[in-house]
Amino acid sequence: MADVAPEQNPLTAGLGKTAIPDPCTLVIFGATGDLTRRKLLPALYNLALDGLLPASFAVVGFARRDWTDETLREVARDGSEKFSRRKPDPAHWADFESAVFYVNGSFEDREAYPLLQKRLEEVEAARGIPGNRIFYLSIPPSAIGTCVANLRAAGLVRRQEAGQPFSRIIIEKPIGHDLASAVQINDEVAQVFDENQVFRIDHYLGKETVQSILVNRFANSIFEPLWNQKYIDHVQITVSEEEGVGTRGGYYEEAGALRDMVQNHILQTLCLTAMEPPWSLGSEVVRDHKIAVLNCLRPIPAREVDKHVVRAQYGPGFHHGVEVPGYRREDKVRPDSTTETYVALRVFVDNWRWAGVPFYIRTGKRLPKRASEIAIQFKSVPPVMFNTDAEAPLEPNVLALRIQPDEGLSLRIATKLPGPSVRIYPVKMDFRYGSTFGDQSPEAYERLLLDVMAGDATLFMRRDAVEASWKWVSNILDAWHQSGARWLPEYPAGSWGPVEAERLIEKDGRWRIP
Amino acid sequence: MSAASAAEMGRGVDVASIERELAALWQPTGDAAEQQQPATRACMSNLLIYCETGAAANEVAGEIDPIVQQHPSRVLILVSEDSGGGREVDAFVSATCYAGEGGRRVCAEAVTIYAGAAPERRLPATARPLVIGDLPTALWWTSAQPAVLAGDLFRELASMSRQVILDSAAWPDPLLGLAAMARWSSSAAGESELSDLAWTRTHPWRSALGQSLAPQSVPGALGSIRRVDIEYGASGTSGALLVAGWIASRLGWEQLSARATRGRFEARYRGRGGEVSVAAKEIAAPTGLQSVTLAWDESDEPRTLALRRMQDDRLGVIRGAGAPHHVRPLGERGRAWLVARELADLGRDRVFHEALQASRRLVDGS
Repeated sequence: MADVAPEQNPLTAGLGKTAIPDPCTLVIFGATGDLTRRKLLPALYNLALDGLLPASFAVVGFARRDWTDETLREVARDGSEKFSRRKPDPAHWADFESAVFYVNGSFEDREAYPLLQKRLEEVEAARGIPGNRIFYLSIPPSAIGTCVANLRAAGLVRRQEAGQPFSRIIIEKPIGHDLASAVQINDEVAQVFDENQVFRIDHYLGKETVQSILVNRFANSIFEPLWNQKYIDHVQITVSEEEGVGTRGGYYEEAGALRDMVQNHILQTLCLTAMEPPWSLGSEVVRDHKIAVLNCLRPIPAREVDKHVVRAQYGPGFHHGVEVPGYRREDKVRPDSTTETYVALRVFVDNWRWAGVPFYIRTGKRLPKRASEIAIQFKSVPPVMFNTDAEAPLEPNVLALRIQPDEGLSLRIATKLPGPSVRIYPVKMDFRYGSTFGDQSPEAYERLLLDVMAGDATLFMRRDAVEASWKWVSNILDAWHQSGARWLPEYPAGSWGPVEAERLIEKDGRWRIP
Repeated sequence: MSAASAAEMGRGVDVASIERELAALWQPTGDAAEQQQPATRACMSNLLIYCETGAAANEVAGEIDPIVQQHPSRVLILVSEDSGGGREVDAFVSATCYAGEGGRRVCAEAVTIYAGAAPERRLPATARPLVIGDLPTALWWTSAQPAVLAGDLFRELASMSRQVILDSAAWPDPLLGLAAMARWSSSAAGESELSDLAWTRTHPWRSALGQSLAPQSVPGALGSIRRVDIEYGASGTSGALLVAGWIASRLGWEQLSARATRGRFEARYRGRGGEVSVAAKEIAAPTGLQSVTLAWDESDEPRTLALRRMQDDRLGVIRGAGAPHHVRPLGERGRAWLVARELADLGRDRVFHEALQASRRLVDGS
């Protein structure tokens, strides 16, 4: 009989807002790394506890170290003990860990892949998994090409065909270190996987509050009519970190703040803030609307980079009262490094909606606190009636969407202080997810892994978006490279950045304290 | 921190001054004010809770904390019994507080209202002005009497509510209650959304069945099911009926005959692959669904899939005979958790309504 099409399952309709994925195996390359222990396995455990994993599921770790199934299971338990939002429950742990397997091999070794294939077939047969596979590449970007080529050579991957088992691949950011390397990686992947099989993961986009940007904008009728150049003075996007580079000095020396944060997290956040209303929540529709924003970003020509972009390095200073070294004194950092740990930009989105509205972006390490927010500053009221004192103008309205910590939103409005005279004071209406909903948000990786299993690519970066982002930041990187600077402005660790950043924004006001 | 329940901490107040007394809850007073963190009032909705007796209200009061921690609400507990205070209507106000993010004290308000005489008029009239505007209102009907058979009191309270939550598993005669609820639901469609905690409890079973019978994994199974057997324990009748109705409605089966009595029901359907029989019976077990078994033919070979309740809140998925092929958490929680979960979902559950109507047809035998 064939009255129910393979892609249809009436019994899963209406089970909840969360899609129920088909049975599958998640294969983690680089399974002995920290990400697997701290994020991936705890996320999978939480999904299992919530009954959101497919009925038949397995996770197969693949890495060079001489581990066994048991070793990876111990790592899973240890990681879940330490990093999961829910600790291992003895009643359920055994069922979860029975789905965890390990294959020993190097992703560079072609001979290891047939062994992986054999083990996958055994696991799939034993657990009733019809060959659906997701390959999570938690490996250096430079190794992606080798890995996917070996996957194809061993026959582990199949192209997408209706009714056939699926093969999907998850690649982590950074996708390359510039446009050319990103194109190269994408080309290598495209030789093996169709674009709709590729999920470029950025955990930042899985955060609840990043996802809620679209809800705030398009599920409330009061914001959208004001969301344009007529009413908005400027936008500030801040992603600040308290920590220095710590043990990641080697990586950071090659990356810097522009590559590490702006090219991916921040430009994606800007897209969600600036995009036109998509006509559906279909992944391609949303991603089409995001790329439209990237295509409207005004390029910053080399001669204007210093006018629109500020870069700096943290010097010695104090973090929570404790003296900390400057960037050049950090481990694995060159003493004459010119890698930026802070960047501030003035960006324009050249379309009808945003013409002339500056987007101020800043991100940095060793800033006073960890915070991510998007602040929409509205235009001031006219200088009549309540706003006639040029020495003390009214504070403009600000809508701040906080991504972390204290996820939520606040709206600054002017109000009258009680009393016989008219005294106006800015007050903040504040909504916090944590206070209202309690601490029940799933971790970003839970949402993202589930989306991959369900084939929903909305929160993942499409190839054109990755390359458009790189293309836009390449102007800046090239200008910096050509400048041959041997010194960057310094800001004291624990401060809000260099004075040059204040000058960048002073025409439109000042940086907010998030 | 978890504050004492409304019943334990409620302060008796004059009905006309309830709103003022609620406002006073948020004013710091005396030395305690200096010692305590300021409280944040959290409120996403109004929750009306109907209780038939003071004893039931006391039981409910102990469940307010977990509900408001998940879904902060102004809670109005409405009791159709005298409090013994000697007044026609007695009211008690309290705040229930918990530690929010960053250790902040987050509180929600609760008012308990007693009216023994003419509760169908006094309780709605007292509750109506206490409902906070611009927020969704839900009615949780805790009485063992099926809500729709309660007459004016239910109609009045339901008319104030966007959502009606009840638990058919608690009804002494679930066959009668489910059929009445289905009729009310179809007639009142679009006015109040109906949620049945008995249906919510079946979610893990439905999820496991849906996933285990995915056409990609078991091609053809959904179209060739020929038999469904359900076993249930105490209070499991309505859950079993709803699961049977759910399978029939999702798979588009046409009912040919049915017979339902206390402790057992059977039905015959015309499915797309031929006739299907459904049989359910109560067995000696402490609670709820115990097993669901589906049988079908694959290339003339008989196949079965069984879900079986296991120890430690687990659900075993068994293909054919033998040991479970897969075990997953059943994730059963108390009714407070279920209520909070329902409060968060304001949408219409179309699948539930279809299952409910199919269950009614099964009970009615038509």
